Amino acid sequence: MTDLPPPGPPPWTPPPLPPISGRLGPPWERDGPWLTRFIETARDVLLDPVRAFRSMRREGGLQAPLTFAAIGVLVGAVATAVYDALLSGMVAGPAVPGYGTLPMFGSGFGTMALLIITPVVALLFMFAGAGIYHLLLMLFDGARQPFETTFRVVAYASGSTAILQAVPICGALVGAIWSLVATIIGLAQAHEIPLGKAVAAVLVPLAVCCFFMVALVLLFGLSLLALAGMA
Amino acid sequence: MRLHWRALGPGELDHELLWGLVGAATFGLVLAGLSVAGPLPLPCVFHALTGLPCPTCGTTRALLALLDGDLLAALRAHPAVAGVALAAPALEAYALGTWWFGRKRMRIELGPAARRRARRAAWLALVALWAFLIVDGR
Repeated sequence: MTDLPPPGPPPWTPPPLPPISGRLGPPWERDGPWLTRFIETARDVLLDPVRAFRSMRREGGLQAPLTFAAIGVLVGAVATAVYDALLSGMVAGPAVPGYGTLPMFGSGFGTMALLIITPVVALLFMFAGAGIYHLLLMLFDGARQPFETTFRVVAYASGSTAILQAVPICGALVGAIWSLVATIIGLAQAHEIPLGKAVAAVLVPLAVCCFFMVALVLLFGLSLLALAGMA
Repeated sequence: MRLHWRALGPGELDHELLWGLVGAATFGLVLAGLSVAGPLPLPCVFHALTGLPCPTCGTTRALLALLDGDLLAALRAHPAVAGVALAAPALEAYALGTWWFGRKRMRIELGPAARRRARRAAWLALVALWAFLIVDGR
């Protein structure tokens, strides 16, 4: 008879997912200090989107997700403005002959205007994006819930991933990619549809109409810069 | 299919207000962008990769033609975009008007069979539009 090795710790298994019927809503829609609720919701969406969107309420108004997205986008815009100002200050150098010392943070008015306009335009894009996703879900027979559900997914995904812009250099790119991933997972969980339909609804416009998207983004970007007196 | 007019229910999303505002803001931003930066000479990535126009190729040309008052050129550049842009003022008037005056909202109810037919018709329209853009040769 051989001695068996002592039993090790049981293999780690993820905690069971919340039942779909028990949609309590993200921490953002519960009671508590707003900063804690914001951080917990963003953490859930970034680290465990399946669980986050499985427990997301599908209705209950646009105000809560809209506010969450606006805060996330504002944090991202502030980070982007600071990095842009720092980088342009470093590239331009503090002194140019004939022009004196260049301001480190560029035009204060321009930066402030950008900080105000960027979240407004981002929220506009959020509505338009959610509308396009919902139309495509309808075309792929995947819209099992009303538009509000699609918008809630887009708002929580965008608001959470926008704060990744605070990570220097690669934050914006990682945030953009993870935003797509979180949106796909969120649509699948919120509408309770196969992942393939959610992938199609999110990626088809990117694959087929990428030029239009890029052109719109650049167009709006340039007009923002112009409005802010920076172009 | 049933088309009817009804008041908004308590807590119901006001689509007329939402899309009226989003449409007006988008129109303003596009106009501001075109007037400040003009049309951007960007190549279409899909066209560069496949040699075929993407389903949205011609959007900018259609909008510029409409701004110039050239309806035929706009419809030829992109029939769907030109059509939506032409219908936009009426849709905006309906959306913001019903919201402002608190009127009943128009709603269309589709049964499962009608929903399937509508989905098929939308796909057919999309394919026809894309085929037109390809055949028209741009």
